[in-house]
Amino acid sequence: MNTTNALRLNPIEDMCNHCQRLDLLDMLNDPLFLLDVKDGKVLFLNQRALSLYRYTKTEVERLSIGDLSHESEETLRDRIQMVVGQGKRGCVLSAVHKKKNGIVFKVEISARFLKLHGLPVLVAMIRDVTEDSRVREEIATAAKVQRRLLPKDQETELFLTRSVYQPLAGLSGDVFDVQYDSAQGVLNGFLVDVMGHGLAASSQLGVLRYLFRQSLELAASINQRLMWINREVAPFFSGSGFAAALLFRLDFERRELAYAAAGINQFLVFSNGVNEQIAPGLFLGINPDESYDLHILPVRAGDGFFFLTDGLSECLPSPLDPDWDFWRMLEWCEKSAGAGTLGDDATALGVLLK
Amino acid sequence: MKIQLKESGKKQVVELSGGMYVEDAAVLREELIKLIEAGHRDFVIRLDQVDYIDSSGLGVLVTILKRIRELDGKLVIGGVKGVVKTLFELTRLNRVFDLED
Repeated sequence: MNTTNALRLNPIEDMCNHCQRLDLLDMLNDPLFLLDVKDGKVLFLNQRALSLYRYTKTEVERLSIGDLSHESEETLRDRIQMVVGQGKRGCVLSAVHKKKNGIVFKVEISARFLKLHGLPVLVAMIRDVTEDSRVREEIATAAKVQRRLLPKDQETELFLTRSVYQPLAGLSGDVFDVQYDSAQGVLNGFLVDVMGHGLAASSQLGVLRYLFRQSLELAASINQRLMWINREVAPFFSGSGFAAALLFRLDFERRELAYAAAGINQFLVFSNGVNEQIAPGLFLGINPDESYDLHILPVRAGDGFFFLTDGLSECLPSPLDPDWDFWRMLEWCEKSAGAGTLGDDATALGVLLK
Repeated sequence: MKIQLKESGKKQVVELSGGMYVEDAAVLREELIKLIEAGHRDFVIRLDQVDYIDSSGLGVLVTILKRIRELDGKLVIGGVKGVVKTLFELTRLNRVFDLED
């Protein structure tokens, strides 16, 4: 295939003059070009494509695919053969193209092979995905930041934590946080699941994480702290949406777990077998004046707890195997989150007392 | 999940049946928003035949409730029972929605 520029007559223009096919293609809203499969010459660019690639109609006659694509001749040859091989089925592929002024841009090409007036032709519909790619890269960066904000698993003489965090795609609507105050012998924790997984949910998570940290400064019980967080976060959920949350405080001196629930209404306790702990409570962001109940659970060395967002809790086997322990639960969470079959963000935070 | 829309006077009655999962929730949301955009403000959502709602389903109900209340409209949830009733009680949504038998 020769992809160099060369002046020549355009057979397609002549052949299609009578059937008005090219006029129709010119009316399309999407950029489209026709390519001679034999030599890679550009036979036709519709108006949108002329505008996208910055060429004039008279310049088309000397163009070949090498003028539109930023890829090597070898790659172009392979790709054209791939499209030809697909026949009527056609295919969608990604590529980097270039404009007349040299600017390169990412495209998605929907291409198929056909014969037009007996001439083997490749028809390619082009979509400029530069903006899509930029947004995807931004989201990928934001997702990395989200993950880095999460606390690492901890281990002290008194306890260890283990976590599982698997966003459904890109940004997550889940977050957890733990803060250990060694002077007081207290581990504070927070698990949140905001409705949705997009940019709005990500921003709301940031606010909630900040409020959780702020709430640690309050001289208040765990349910009063949850009430405060709910009140403070209300303006950020005014339009729509809400968040499920669970706040806990594990006091190693008093040997008790205090918790308050707002939509994450159950968690698992591993103490002589496994038990489901239920705690009613309304989601955050619905009623700014909502009050939450304080629950206290006595704990002892060897006890474990698993707090889950619904991406995992809704998939828990029912009934739970009574022989499951903390480590078996962790294994199940890791396996379920990594299976790629869940329909939601999956987050688990486990705490095991030594 | 099956969605049936009926009109009873000025009320829009939405009858749901089956399990309400994430894909169904998106469909229901669109149906209800279309009705709101058409100017309807008085809704009854019947859940008599619904045997399960996941969190995304609850999300749609809460989102629609917020939107309708902003427009001074009314949303009543009817026929909540079984697992769905337990879920409403656990999440205290039974105190947020107007419920009817």
